[in-house]
Amino acid sequence: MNAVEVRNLSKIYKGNIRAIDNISFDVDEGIIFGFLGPNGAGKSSTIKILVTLTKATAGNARVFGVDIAKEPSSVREMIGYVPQDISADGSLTGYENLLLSAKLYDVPRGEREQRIENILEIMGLTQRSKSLVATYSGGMVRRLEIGQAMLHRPRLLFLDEPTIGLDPAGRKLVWEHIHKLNKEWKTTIFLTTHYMEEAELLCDKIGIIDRGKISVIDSPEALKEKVGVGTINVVLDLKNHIKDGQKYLTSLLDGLIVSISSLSNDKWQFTVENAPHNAPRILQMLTDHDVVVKDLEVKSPTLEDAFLKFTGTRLDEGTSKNQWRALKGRRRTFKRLT
Amino acid sequence: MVFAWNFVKKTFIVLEFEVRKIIHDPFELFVRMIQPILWLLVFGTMFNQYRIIPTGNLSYLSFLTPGVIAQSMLFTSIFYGIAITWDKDSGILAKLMATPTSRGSIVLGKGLSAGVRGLVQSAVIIILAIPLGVSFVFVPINLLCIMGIIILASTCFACLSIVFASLLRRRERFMGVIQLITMPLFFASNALYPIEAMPKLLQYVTRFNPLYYVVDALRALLITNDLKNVPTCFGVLLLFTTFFVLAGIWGLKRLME
Repeated sequence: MNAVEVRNLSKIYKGNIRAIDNISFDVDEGIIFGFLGPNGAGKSSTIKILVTLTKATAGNARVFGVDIAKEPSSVREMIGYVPQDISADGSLTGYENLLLSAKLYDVPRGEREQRIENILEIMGLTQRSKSLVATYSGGMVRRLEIGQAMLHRPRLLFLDEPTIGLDPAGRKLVWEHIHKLNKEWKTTIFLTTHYMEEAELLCDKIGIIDRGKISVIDSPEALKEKVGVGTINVVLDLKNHIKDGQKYLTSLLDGLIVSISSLSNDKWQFTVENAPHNAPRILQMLTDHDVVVKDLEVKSPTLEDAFLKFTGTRLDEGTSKNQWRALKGRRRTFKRLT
Repeated sequence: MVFAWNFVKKTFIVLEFEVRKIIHDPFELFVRMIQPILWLLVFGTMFNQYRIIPTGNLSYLSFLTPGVIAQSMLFTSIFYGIAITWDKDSGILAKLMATPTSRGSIVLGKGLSAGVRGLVQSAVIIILAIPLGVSFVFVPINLLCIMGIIILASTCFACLSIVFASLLRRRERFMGVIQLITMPLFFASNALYPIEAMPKLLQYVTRFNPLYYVVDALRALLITNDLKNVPTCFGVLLLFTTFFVLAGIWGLKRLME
């Protein structure tokens, strides 16, 4: 069965702003699915609809076969949700936050203490369970929130930007937990991210979303394969052919490279199919013709290249303003919590 | 039946954790008590001496105390919406609303927590008023009714505040508007003076002010023991509260959109 089925979903906000533009996709049960896209692409809007917080303008969606618009309360019982912004209550203790979730999700009274203890243990928060969450670090708050969402053993867990604002160590720990939940508890995970490495490391399948539309859905490996080309950066000494290096190199390497561009005086970038395989042949060809290769760097296609190919934009382009705003919002929340 | 039980259960869960928050940090609760105490000690004792306001055979302090209880409750509850906007700006409200908890339970549970604050504040005011010479009618059934009135009224004003929060969204605007409406609510009531002392038009307006019914009921139950208006007050307050709880649910949904 599909964990999520989305059909022709649209969300239009006031002022005719299309946050989501007629998207359809499925998420298989048991996988980690990632929505990858810049801020404002429609990731959070999609999640908000799927967790029944807002209504879609058009289209419908099912969670384990249940229509989210017709039976929102049945859907709420099956899912866990960790919003992007801080959602643990800073004026309660870690234990109380977990107790609140346990009660709201109808965890049977006899099992509550056991489950809370278990979650605190797994998330490494036992020592601090009696402290107010306002005194927790960002990473601890995140782990607590994921724990809260897991108490009732949901079949499907929604994580909206799970590692935003965390330091590298904190992110790594959160990644490990997400991985563990998926492997050991068989929880299907639906997450959004604008971090390439996060999508690549965690997700079995990635949907690239940009400006409210899904460009492509596939596994990270397949996405990179679809890009096909990699790049080779070289530093060359072209003293014999100083007049028109571009022309010379193009004719010399004809058939081996797709395109060539000059990065600076002696730095060049070649776009090459199957870059790691073709790099030695290019090197050979250059040395055979007395071109001195001073430095060489081979880059396989990355998810970033895939993103560029499928959306025509870089992930970090044009989003810095939004990101700044998001960061400011986050800071405010932290200030309030501490 | 199952739905009703679930509704009650979830409402009390929401209430429980709001109360836990007050217990963790009762600072605001205490600070908000200072103002009513000043009304009683400064304003009350002064006017008591000169008998400027005609209050029949009641001393002015006795007349004023129920008014001050109502006022402290109003001023505390009416700012409740600010907490909802905080919860909305962080992810707390979003997460709460994604759990299997009905919107009604969320609004009512949070509203009732304002009632708990109201009860604590009222008790403190009553205890302080005794040494000032205010004589209360301590009849158990009256006390139960007083608690009922305080809980109803606090819930009513807290939900009104949630509605304003959802309409105004930005905290600055919310604070401005709430400041603007609390004073008229307070002055266009019988909290400080009998309504007979007001111009005719204002007397008429007062009838649409929930605070009027709160003060009227509290004065009857606490001071005069003349209970003939109490059932009407209860009824009208219940109507106001039901209306604002429903409006609060609408507001909560609107806030999330």
